[in-house]
Amino acid sequence: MDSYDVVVVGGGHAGCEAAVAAARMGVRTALYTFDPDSVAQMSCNPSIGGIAKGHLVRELDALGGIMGEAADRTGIQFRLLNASRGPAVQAPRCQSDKYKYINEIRRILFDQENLSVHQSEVVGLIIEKDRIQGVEVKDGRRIQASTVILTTGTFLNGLIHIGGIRQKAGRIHEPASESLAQNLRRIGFEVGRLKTGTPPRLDGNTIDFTRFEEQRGDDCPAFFSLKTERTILPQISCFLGYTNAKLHNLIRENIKQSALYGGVIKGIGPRYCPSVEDKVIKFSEKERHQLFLEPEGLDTDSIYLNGLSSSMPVEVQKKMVASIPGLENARIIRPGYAIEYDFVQPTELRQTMETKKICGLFHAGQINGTTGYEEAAAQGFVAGINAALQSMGLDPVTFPREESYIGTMVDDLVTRGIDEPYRMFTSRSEFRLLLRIDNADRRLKPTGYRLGLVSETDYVVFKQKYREIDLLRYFLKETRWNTRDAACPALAAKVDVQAIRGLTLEEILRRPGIFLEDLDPFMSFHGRKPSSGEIRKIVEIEIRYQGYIQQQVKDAEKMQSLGKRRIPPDFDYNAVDGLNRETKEKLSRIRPADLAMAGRIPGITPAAVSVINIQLEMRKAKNSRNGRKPEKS
Amino acid sequence: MSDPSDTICALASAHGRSALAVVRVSGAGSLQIWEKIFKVKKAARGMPPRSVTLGDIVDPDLGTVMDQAIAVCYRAPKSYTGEDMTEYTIHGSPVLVAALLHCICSLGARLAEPGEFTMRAFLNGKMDLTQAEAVRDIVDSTTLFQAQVAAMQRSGEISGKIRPLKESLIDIVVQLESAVEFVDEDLPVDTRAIVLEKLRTAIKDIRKMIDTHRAGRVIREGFRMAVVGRPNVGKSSLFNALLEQDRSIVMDMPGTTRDLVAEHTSIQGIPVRLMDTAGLSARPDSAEGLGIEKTYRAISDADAILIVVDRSRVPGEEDLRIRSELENLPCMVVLNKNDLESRWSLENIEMFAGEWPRIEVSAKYGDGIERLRSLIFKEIFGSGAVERDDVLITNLRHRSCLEALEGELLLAVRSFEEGLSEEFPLMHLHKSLKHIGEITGETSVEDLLTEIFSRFCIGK
Ligand SMILES: Nc1nc2c(ncn2[C@@H]2O[C@H](COP(=O)(O)OP(=O)(O)OP(=O)(O)O)[C@@H](O)[C@H]2O)c(=O)[nH]1
Ligand SMILES: [Mg+2]
Repeated sequence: MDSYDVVVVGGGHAGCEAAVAAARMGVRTALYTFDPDSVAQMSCNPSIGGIAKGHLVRELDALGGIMGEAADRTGIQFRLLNASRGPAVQAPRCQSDKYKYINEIRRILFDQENLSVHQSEVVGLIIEKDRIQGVEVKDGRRIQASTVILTTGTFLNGLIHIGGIRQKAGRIHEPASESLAQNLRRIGFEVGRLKTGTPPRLDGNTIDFTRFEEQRGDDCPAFFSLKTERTILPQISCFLGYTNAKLHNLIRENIKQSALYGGVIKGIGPRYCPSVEDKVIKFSEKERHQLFLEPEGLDTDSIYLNGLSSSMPVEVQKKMVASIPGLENARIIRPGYAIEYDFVQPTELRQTMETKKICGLFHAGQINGTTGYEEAAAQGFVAGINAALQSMGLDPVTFPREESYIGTMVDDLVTRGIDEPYRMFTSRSEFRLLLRIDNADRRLKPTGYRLGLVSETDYVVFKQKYREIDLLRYFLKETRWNTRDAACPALAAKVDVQAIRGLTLEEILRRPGIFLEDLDPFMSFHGRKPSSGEIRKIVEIEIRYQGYIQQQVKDAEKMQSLGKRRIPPDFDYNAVDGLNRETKEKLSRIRPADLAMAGRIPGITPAAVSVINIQLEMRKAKNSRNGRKPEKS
Repeated sequence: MSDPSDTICALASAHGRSALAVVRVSGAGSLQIWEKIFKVKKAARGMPPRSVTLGDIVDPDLGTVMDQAIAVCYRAPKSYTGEDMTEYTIHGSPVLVAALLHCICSLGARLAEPGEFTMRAFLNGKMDLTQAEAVRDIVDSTTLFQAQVAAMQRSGEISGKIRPLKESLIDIVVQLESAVEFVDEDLPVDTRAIVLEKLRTAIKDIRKMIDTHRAGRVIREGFRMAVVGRPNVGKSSLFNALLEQDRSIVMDMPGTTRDLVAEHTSIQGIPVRLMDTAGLSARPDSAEGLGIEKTYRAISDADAILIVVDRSRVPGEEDLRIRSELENLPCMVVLNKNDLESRWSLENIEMFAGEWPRIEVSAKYGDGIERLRSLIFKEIFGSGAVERDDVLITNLRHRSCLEALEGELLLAVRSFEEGLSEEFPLMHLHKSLKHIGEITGETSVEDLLTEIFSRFCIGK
C-alpha cells in the first residue's frame, strides 16, 4: 500500500500551494487530481492579484509560496492598483496567460522533490477513532497518509446551470465529486451550499476591438515576487466597453429563463461578483455596466468577457453578446454558466486549517467557502505547512491578524464562519496601514525561513536589505540639516532651506512632496552611498506615515496582550457558571485559541470574555497549588 | 475585555441617595489625579499612605470647591486592587458623584466596567480561590447589568439623536471604502469636498449634542435657575440670600436691577447657576428694555424658575400677566416679605401658584431660606433623571463617547486636509464608529460590506 506523510486532494490553487509547501519541508507528499495536465486552472478570470488579493500573493511569496513567481513569469499585463493612493492600499494585479500558468505550476510540481502527482479521483476518507488514516481512490485502492488536505474547490456536489439545463460537474466538462461530499456529511461537518458564475468566452477573431477602449498595462510593472526583475512574455492590452439598454431589455424579457432567477439555484452567491442578471435587475437605475475583454493567453484566441457572468440559456447569451457594439458577430466559444457546490463551514477548523473533528484532516480553499485563487492558495499554504509539521511531530504555525492578510483571512473564517463566498478586502483588516505590500517580507520572511521554505541565500539578502534600511533610518533620524555641508538644489526648489536648518532629515522628509533623492548631495557629503529605489521607497513610507503606523502598532499590541491568554483546547465551557447557554454552545463549537479570538466571535460580549479569563486564572491557581503540594498517597 | 492598563473610577458605595458616597479610583494615574482634584488643608504632602485625610474636592478646570471630602490614598501593591488607588468619601448627592467622576475622567481615567475593580484585585493576586468564585459571580451579574444599561441607552434620548449621525458616518465610510477597494469600477462616489463637508456637519452635530447634553451640562455648569418677578418684590434680596453674599444691588426702588447678574453656588452639593433678573413690568421704559429682553432669555435658558412675589402688597393684574407668561414652565413661587403683614389671601395664593410649589420667606431677614433650599433640591433633583446616579453615569459614558468620537472625526478631517488618501481618514472613521457602537451597538466590517454591496453595483 502506498503511504505518505501528506496527501493533498485536488490540484487547484490551494492544492498546488499545499503540496509544494509540504514537500519542500521535506515530508513525503502526494497530490491527487482528476487531471494532472490542468492543475492550477484559472476557471474564472485570467488574472491574479488586485487589492487585498495582491497583498495575499506578496505575503505568500515572502513565506516561500509559489503563486507569486508563477504569476510573474506568465503575466501578460501588469498594473499596480491604487497607485495614486497611500502605500497600504496599493497592490499589484496581472493578466495571466492561463495556459502558460498551468504549465509553469505543473513544472514546479513535477520538479519538486518528495512530491508525486497522481491522476485519480479520491472517493473516500479513511478515518479511525477521529484520526485520518488515508484516502480511498476510485479504483478501490487505499492510500495511507498521516495527514490529508482537502482542496476540492467547486467539485463537491458541483452542479452547473445554463438556463434550464443542469449538469453535475466540478467545472465545465469535468466530473463532480459526489461520494466525497457524502463522506463529509457523514462525518458530521456542517455543510452548506454556495454558487458562483462565469461569463462567456469569445473568439477574439470575431471581435471588433476598435469599438472598445484600450487599456494598457503599466510601463514599469510592479511584480508579485521580490525576486522578479522583468516581464518574460510579451505584454498585451485589455479592452473596456459597456452594456446598453438593448442588452438590459433582453435580460428583462428573458429573466424567467435565467437559472439564477428561475428559482432552481439555492446556493448563495458572492455579492461582489454579481451576474449580469443581478446587475440589471437589482441596480435598474444604472444605465450601463462595465465590460472588460481579457485575453486568456498569448497563443489562444479565447477572450474572457469580464462583467457578463450569466446563467441564461445559450441562445439568449448569443443575443446578449451580439447586442454589444463590436461584438455583433462575436462567436461564443463557451457559454457562461452558474455553478452550485458544497462547502464545509470553516468554523469546523482550527487556525491551522485542521478540522477539529478529525485529527490530521485539513481543508483549504473554496471548500471553506472562499472565492478567489489567491485566497485559496494562501489557505493551501497554511494547511500544507501545518500538515507537514504535524506529520513530523512538530508544533503548528499560525498567523496572527496583525501580521498578515493570510492570518486575517484564516481568523475571519474560523471565528466567524461564512454565509456568502468570502473574498479578501483590505477593510477586513483592522491593521490595514501595517499590512502593506512593501513590508510583506519583513513581516513574514523570518517565518518562511524558519519553516525551511526560504533559501539561505534569499534570507541573507533579506537580512541585508533591512539592515541597510535600519541604518539609513538611524542616519536620517540623527542627522540635522545645515546649509554648509552641501547644496541640495532639488530640495531648495521645494522648501526654504534656511528655514529648515536644525531639523533632522527625518523631520524634513515628513513634509509633503519631499523625497530622499532631494537630499542626495547632502547624503553623499556625509559619506552615504545612494540606496536602491526599493529601499528609498520603504524608508520614505516608514517615515512619512510614522504617526499612523505607530497608532496601529499600539492597537496591535493591545490585541496581542489578550492573544497571549491562551485557552486550552480541552477547556470545558459548560462547566463555567457565568455563561448563558447560547454563549456556551457557541464557544464549545468554535473553541477559540485565545481570549482575543473569543472576543471576536460574533455575539460574545466583553463580560463573557472576562468570565472565561477568571476561569482560566482559577485553573492556573489550582494547578500551581496542586503542583506545590503534591497529594500524599 | 477592557484594557487593564487604564486608570478606572467608579462609585464604590451603593447607588442612589445616601448620606455619604465613596468614589474609587484605581490604576497608575490615580495619584496624579489626586494631586489635581484633592486640596488638603495643611500641607500634607508627606502623608503616609493609607491614612485618612480631610480636604476639598476642587474642580480642576474652574478651581471651585465642589465639596469637602475625606480621602484615602493607597500605594501599589498594598491596596484592594493591588494598584495605586484612591478613595474619596463625599456627600451622597448623585449629581455631586457624577460631577466628581466627570472631573476624574477629564484627567485621564475612564469609568470602570462593572466588577472591574474586583477583577483587577483578582488578577493581581489579591484574592484566594474562594474569593475568586465570588468575583466571578459579580462579573456574571454584569452581563445582566450591561443588558440593562444597553437597553437604557438604546431607549435613551441620546441614541435617538445619534442614529442619524451614525448613518451619515456609515455613509461616508462606505463611500471611502468603496473608492479604495473597487478602483476599477465606475462608482458614483462622492468627491473629497463633499465628504469633507459631510464630516464637518457631523462634527458640528456632535458638538451640539455635547453642549446641549443636559445631564452633562448640569454636572459641568450647574443647574440653571432664574429669579424673576415684578420690580421691587425682592428678587435681588433673595438672590443674595441664596448666595450668602451681597452680590446684587438691593434698593427700595423699582428697576434697581437692570442687567442680568449670574453667579455659581451649590445647593446641598449640587452645582447651581443662579440668575438675578430685571423686574418684569407692563410698560418697560426704554432703558429697561434691554434688561427685560435678557430676563426673557434667562427664562428660556433656565432649567427652573423662582417666581418672587411681594406678599405685603395686594396682588394685581401684573401678577396675573406674569403668571400666564410663565404657564407650563418649571416654576416655584416664592412669597417674599413674610416679615410684613400679608396682603395675599389664601385664594390669591392658590389662584396664582396653582400646580407650582410655593414657599413663604423673608429674603431680607433670612427666614425660610433654608427651607427654600430644601424645596429646590426636592423639586428639581428629588425626582426624575438627576436622582438616578446610574442614569447620570450612563450619561457620563455617553458624553465621553461623544467627546472621543469628536476627537477621531477631527483627526479624520485633518488627514483629509493634509491631502492623504482615503485609508488614512478611514482609520479614524473606523475608530469613531467604534465609539458610536459603545452607545448604539457595534457596526461590523460585514455590516459595512453589506452596505457597500447594496448601494453600489460592484463586480465584473
Ligand atoms: N421687609 C422686607 N423687605 C424686603 C424683603 N425683601 C426685600 N425687601 C426690600 O424690598 C426692596 C426691594 O428689594 P430688591 O431685592 O432690590 O428688589 P428687586 O425685586 O430686586 O427689585 P428690582 O431689581 O428693582 O426689580 C428693598 O428695599 C429690600 O430691602 C423682605 O423679605 N422683607
Ligand atoms: Mg433687583
